[in-house]
Amino acid sequence: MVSIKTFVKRVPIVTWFILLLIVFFSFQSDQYLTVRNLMILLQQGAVLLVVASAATFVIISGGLDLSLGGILTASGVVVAITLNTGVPIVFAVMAGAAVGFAFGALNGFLISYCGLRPFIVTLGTAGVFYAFSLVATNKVGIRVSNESFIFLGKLVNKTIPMAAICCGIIFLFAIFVQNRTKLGRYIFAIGGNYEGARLSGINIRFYKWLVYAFAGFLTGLAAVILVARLEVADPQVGMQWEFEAIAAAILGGTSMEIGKGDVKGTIIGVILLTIVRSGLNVIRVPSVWQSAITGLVIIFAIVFQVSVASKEMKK
Amino acid sequence: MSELSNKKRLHVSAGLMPSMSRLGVLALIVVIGYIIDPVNFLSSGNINNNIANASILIILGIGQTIAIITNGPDLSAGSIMTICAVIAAVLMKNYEVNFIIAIIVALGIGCILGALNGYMIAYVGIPSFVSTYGLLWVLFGFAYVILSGYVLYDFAPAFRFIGNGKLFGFLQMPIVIMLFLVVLGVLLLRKTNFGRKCYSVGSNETCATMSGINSKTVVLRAFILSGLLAACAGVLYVGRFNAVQADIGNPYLLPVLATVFMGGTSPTGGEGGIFGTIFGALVITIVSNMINLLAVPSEYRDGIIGVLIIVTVLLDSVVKNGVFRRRTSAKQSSAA
Repeated sequence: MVSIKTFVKRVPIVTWFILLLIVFFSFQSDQYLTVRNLMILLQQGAVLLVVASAATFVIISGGLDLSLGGILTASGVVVAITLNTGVPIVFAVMAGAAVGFAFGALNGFLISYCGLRPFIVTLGTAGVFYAFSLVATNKVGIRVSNESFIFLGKLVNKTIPMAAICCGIIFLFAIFVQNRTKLGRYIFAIGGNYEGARLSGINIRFYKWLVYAFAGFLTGLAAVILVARLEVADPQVGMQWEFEAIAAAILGGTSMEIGKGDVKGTIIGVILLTIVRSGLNVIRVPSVWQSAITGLVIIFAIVFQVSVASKEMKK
Repeated sequence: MSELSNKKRLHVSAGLMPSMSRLGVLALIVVIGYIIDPVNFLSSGNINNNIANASILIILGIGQTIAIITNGPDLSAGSIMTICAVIAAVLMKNYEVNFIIAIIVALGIGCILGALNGYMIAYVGIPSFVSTYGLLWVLFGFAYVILSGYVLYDFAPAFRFIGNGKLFGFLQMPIVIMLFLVVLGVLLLRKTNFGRKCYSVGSNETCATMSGINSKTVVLRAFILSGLLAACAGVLYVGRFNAVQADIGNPYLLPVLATVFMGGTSPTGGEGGIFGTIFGALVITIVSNMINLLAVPSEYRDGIIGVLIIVTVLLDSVVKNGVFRRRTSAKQSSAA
């Protein structure tokens, strides 16, 4: 029998944060605990969920990808440009995913085969990806007006957001990759014990490369949904996304040091971030304050999470 | 006997090669700049401006070098620079505080923010690129909150002397301050106990702790220094450009890292120095100067600097591995 005490201990700490925030915001506004607001939350959190699972994969493998925001931007720009040439939607989606994969593969090549440090490479390539987006769009956002494409960002039956359904499917795919494929198993080995993984015959270089390419691929898919929802591909839309994605992964219990983590857990981090974002809108915090407050809450939660986790490690 | 001299020669070339190649690169870039624009590039005005512009980058770079040698990058340096500049500016413009007090307050806040970074990294155990990246967004958020979209400009001449004045009629103040901080930084890293502890904590933290160094306080102090120097850069920026916006630190994030890594400071810590960083800052400044002289659109800038970072880190690893290989092969041949 599971006693209450062990049950309480098993629930991730961030969950208590989330409950606290929900109670707080629902006292502030009677509009908060409604189905409509829940659907808005789903729509806002959907894209972040996909980008955050990409970040989770990279972090489990012991790396870091600060260029996810840049990939998101660049893929979105390519999706919009391809769409506006009038090709079928499928090709635009494929183009977005392919650009994401290619840019991720570039990161992976520099990190895995050239042996450079992830954060330097991805900071550098992030600059390149943003420059690419700015040049490709001529510094102004590209509007997208294809009706059936925009449907991807709309509501089905005026209740369920299409974005949430698509991103949910991509998320399930990510969980599948983590649990049922070689890539999913080997990243734990690479992140936990690089030398051991190499000695046991895993082609570590290839899989390390593949993690970044796969993360880029997921981010490219996320870009498709994002463009559909915003109906515009902005050359700077990805700013700060990589930070929120990494934060969500860490809040979900993924550790940067010991090859520990779970894509499933990332959803908790995403929920927390989305609730803070939307909650600040609900209680009408001025927009200049929002970025600062969200950042503070995230840092506070990370400090809390990491210090509790390290205490548990010591036990 | 011959073996000994052989070893010695190898050792000398291994030590000198990076600095020689760096001087070579610098000379090459200057020559390219001269070819691009023979009239303006080597004019004394342009040179003076370049060095003064590089000063802010070098000051940020010193802090960054210390942080990277000890533990890891301080990605929040640009935003600490911004927030300190904004606070100093608001104190002087809106509250009419004496500029010396405003500067002291700004430097103090830089130290506090650096300490916050150091605390999160050393005592909580969050990797430096996560905690400082987080602080980056928080501080930019606060800079926007404080200024709420306005631009503060037109400061007292006495204050502007720091960034714009000339000592003895020809030495620009930013250069004087930069040189002063460079000397302090070099002495700190090379001649003090703390400097040596930085290197040893950076190269192997477990080993340093076991040999009795309190590595946590060393990391904390390194990040406090980084914050303090970022604040210095912020104050200097206000004095030099006579205006403050909420995003002045943004364009420095990539160049500062490029500066440090180009200078040969190892991203894994424990290796590198301030002279290399000066070289990196000069290269970056001259390259951006060339971008301006060639009238390249601004949107290419981050891309060019991004490529520059990756290429230099790549070259660095190639050069180091090459030297390493040659050394081991020399050892093997002498053993045989």
